[in-house]
Amino acid sequence: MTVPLLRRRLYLALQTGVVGLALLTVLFPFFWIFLTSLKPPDLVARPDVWTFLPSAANWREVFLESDVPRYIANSLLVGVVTVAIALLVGFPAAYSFSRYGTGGGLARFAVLAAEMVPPAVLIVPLFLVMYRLALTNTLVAVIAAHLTFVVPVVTWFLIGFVDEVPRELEEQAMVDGYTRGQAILRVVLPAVRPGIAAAGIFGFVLSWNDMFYALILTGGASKTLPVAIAGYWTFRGIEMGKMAVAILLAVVPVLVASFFVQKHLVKGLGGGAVKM
Amino acid sequence: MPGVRLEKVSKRFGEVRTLRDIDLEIADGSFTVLVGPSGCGKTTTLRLVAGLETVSSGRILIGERDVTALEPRERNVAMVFQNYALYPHMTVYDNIAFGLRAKRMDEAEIRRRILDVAAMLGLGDLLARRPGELSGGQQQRVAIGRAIVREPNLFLFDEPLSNLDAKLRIGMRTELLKLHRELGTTTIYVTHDQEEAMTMGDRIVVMEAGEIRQTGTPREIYFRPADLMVARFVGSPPMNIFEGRLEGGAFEGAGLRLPLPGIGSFAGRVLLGVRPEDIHLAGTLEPERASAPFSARVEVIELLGARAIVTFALEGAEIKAVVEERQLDTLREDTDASLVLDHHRLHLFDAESGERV
Repeated sequence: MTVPLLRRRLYLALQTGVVGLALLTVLFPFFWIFLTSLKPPDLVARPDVWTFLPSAANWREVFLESDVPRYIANSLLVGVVTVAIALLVGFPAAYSFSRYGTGGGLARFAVLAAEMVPPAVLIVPLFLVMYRLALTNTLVAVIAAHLTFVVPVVTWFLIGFVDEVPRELEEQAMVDGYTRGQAILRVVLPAVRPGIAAAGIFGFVLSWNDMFYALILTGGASKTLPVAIAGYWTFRGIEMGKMAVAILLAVVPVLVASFFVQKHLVKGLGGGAVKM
Repeated sequence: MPGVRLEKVSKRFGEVRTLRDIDLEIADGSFTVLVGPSGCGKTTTLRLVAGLETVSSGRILIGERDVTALEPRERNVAMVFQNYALYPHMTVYDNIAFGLRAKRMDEAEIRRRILDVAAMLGLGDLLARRPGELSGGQQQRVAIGRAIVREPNLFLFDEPLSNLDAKLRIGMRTELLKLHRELGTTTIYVTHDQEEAMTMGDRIVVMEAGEIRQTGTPREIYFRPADLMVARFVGSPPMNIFEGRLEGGAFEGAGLRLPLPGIGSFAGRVLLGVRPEDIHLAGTLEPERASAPFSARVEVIELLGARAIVTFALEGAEIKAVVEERQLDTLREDTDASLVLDHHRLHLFDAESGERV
C-alpha cells in the first residue's frame, strides 16, 4: 500500500468517525425517547433499564384517552394559518425588496431584526393587546404571536429566491401583453415555487415548535402540542412514557418535512444575504 | 408596418443622465442597428421604445401613435432579450403561446400559428420540451418564435446573439436577416459588436455617452465616419490614427510629410485616419491614388488566410495594415518596407473636436 493511499484511508476513517459521533449525539436522545415510549408503566422512570417487554400502553393512552389529538389539530391549524398569512404578506414584501430595493440595503436586513428581539420583550405587549381584545386562550392570539417571527423569516427566505428570477422574465411577460401584476402571478410566482415550499415548511416548523408564546397565551382546549408536552410535567411527577409519545409526535413530522426540502432550506437561509 | 420616431428623448436614472435629447427616425420595415460601447445608452433606448423604462422627457411615436405614456403591453412590440427570458416552468409550446393567450386568442388559432412558426424555425420536435432541456441555439429560436408569432408592429432585439458561440452566431445572423426579409417588420437591434452591426443593419446608429454620434448606412458609417469616435469604433482591425498638422496642403506628423491634393485651405492640428486596408506596399496601388512613399519597419505578420494583418513600426508608433497573402513574399519581419497610403480613402479629423474635416 502506498503512503498517499494510506493517508487517504486514515482521513476517511477520521471523517466517518467524526460524522458518526455527531450523528450519535443528535440521534441518541430520540432513540432513548422512543425506548421510553415503549416501556411498561413500572419501568418508565428507570433510564438505566435497557431490556424490557415493549408495551403499547403509553401510545394507546395518548391517542385514545387524552386530548393530545386535539392539541395536534390546534398546532396544525396555528401552523397552517400562520404560514398562509406569512406567505401572503412575505411574498409581496420579498418582491418589493428584491425588485425595488425598498428601504435600501439596510431594510432588507432589518427584516430579520424582529428575529433578534427576545420573545420576553414582545410577550408583555402581545398579552395586553390580546387581553383587551378578549382573545387570550384562543388560537388567534397564538397565530398573531407566531406571525411576529414567521413573517420575517418567510420574507427573508423569499428575497433570495425572487433575486434569482431574472427581471427579464417579467419584462418579457409585460411586453407579451400582461400587466405587472399578471406577470408576477404567472411568471415570478411559478419560478419561486420551491422557495415558497421551503419558506412555508420552515415557517411551519417554527410555529409548530414554539412553546413560549403558546404557553402564555393559551390554556385549556386552545393548547398547542408543545404546551401539552410540558403539561405532562405534573405536580405528581413527570409522566415520562406519555411525554415520550407526545414528543415523538411533535418531532417526526418536522424531521420528515425538513428532509424533503433540505436543499432549498440551505439556499433560503442564506439567500437574502447574497445581494445588498 | 409603422416606423418609429424618437423626439428629444432624455432619460435620467437619479442624477445620471443616460440619454440626452435623442432624435431618431426609424423607417418602416428597416433593420436598424444601435451600436456603441457598453454604457452608451443603446439598451436604454431600446427599453424606452419597449416601454420598460419611462422617458424623463421627450416623445416616442410608433407609426403615428404617441406611445410615450403607454404600458409595454399596449405598444404591440415584441422583444428578444440577451438571455432569451424563456419561462422556465412552461414548455416551448406554452412559451410561444403565452403572448397570444394574453390577447385571449382562440386555442385553435394559437395552435395554427405556433405550428407555422415552429415549421419556419425548425422547432417542430421541441414543442413539448422545457427551456432547460434545450441548447443555447434552440433557446434562441424559441425566443425568436415567441416574438414573431405575435405579429407585432416592431421587433426589438437586445444583443440576442451574444450568448451564442461564434459559429452559431454567424449562422443566426443570416437567419435573422432572412426572417426580416420575409416578414418585413421594422426591427431595432442592439449590439456592442461593430461587425454584427455592419453585416446586419440597413441603417446603423452609432451611440456614445448617451448621444447619437452618427446615423447612416453601413457604407456611410465605414467610409465617411462623422467623427473620431465612430472612426475608431467601426472596423477591425481599427483605423490607424496619426497626430499631426495640416499646412500648405500637406499632412506633417509621425515623421511623415504627405502632400494631400484636394485638401483645400484647412490648416491646423489634425488627426489623420487610415484604415488598415488603405495602407499598401509601394508599387501595388495605381499611381494616381498613391501618396508619397514612406518607409516603416515590419514588426509582426499575422496570417488570416487570404490576407494578413501586418504591424509596422513608424517613429515609435504602431500602424496596422491588411495585406494580400500573395504580397507577403516581399516582407520580412524586422526589415524595412516601403508603404503608400490611398489618398482617396484618407480621413481627417479636427484634433480638438474630433469631428470630420
